[in-house]
Amino acid sequence: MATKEYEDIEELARKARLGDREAFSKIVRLMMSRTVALTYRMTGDSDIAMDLAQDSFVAAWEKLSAFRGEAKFTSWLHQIAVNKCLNYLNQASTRLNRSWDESNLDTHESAPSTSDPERTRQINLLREGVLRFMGTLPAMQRAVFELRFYQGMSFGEIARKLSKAEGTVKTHYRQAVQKLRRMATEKGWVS
Amino acid sequence: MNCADCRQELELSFGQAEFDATVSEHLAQCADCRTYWVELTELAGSLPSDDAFVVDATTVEMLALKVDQAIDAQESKGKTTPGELGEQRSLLTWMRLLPAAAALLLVIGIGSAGYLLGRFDNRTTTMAGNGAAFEISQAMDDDYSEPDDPTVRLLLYDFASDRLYDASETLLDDITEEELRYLEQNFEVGDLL
Ligand SMILES: [Zn+2]
Repeated sequence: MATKEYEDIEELARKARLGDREAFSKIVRLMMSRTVALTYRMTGDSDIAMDLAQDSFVAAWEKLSAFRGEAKFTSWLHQIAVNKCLNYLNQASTRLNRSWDESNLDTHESAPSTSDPERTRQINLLREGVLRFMGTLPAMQRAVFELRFYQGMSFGEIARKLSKAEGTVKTHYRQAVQKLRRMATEKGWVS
Repeated sequence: MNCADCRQELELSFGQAEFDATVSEHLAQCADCRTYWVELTELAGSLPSDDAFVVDATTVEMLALKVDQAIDAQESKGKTTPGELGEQRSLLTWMRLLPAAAALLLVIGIGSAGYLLGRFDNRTTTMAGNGAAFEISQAMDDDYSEPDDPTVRLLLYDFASDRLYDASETLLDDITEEELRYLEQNFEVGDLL
């Protein structure tokens, strides 16, 4: 997301905190895609991902008065979405090993970030590859990889969030990285 | 540092720009680990960023409309605007203290009850008629955890529901003989002071 867009969102968040519904509606539209991407990577089910993303926005509206502006609004919203996903994954242990919903991959279209069709094709392949990779991970590894690689959290923070020992979290991350490397080598994602 | 330790550290720093000085020292003298490091760095760099995962505009609009509707539906019931949330939080905080408050009433007597009940009813009156306890529970923080004891949980839930539907009732009217005994057995004034 462009820096300007981030600034807009922070400004909109200030208005929304004062009860401006229109400002909040704009935030929802600006951040929906990224939020679904997050919930999808964490749950592997596009229907669930969309439900959780919607729930996250509704919860964000309810909790807006608790948002003090110390962190970025975007990070705050992502935290809510991550919590929703973790709650979902923890609700039933059977879900922890649910299979990846590969059929839903095509509901997610890539942003045309380049005008070069070959490059776009490569990006799409890699993106789908990563989604597939995330889907092959057990839920705990998937959550750790998402929180560390995509959300940039420290191992200590992740451990607290998942109620796991830091050593366990580190092991999950290393296992995910090793698996990703094997997959990337097999599929020829990297030279 | 040996090669195994070095690779372990490299894997842990996957996606990060920095790692330990001991790792750098090892990399300076070990070609195999340097190759491994380059491989991981390339891989991390080639992974799609968050921006590469995009839902199409029609889906975004459809989802956003659903969010608008969900918020409208909640607001039509007279709650969940940001300004009102602080008030709800006070109630929720108070509800979390209920088991202790109930025990306190039992131990130190009805004399103090007037004050506490008056205070509680003032809070609940603003919530009365706003919907079921289920909705209140949805407004709670995600990190909220219920009391472990199922009986306490049930008491709390029953009490909270009743308070929301009829703020004029008093606490002790709602508690049966059996529940009173349970509270007496499980809470002591020492725990509360
Ligand atoms: Zn080495």
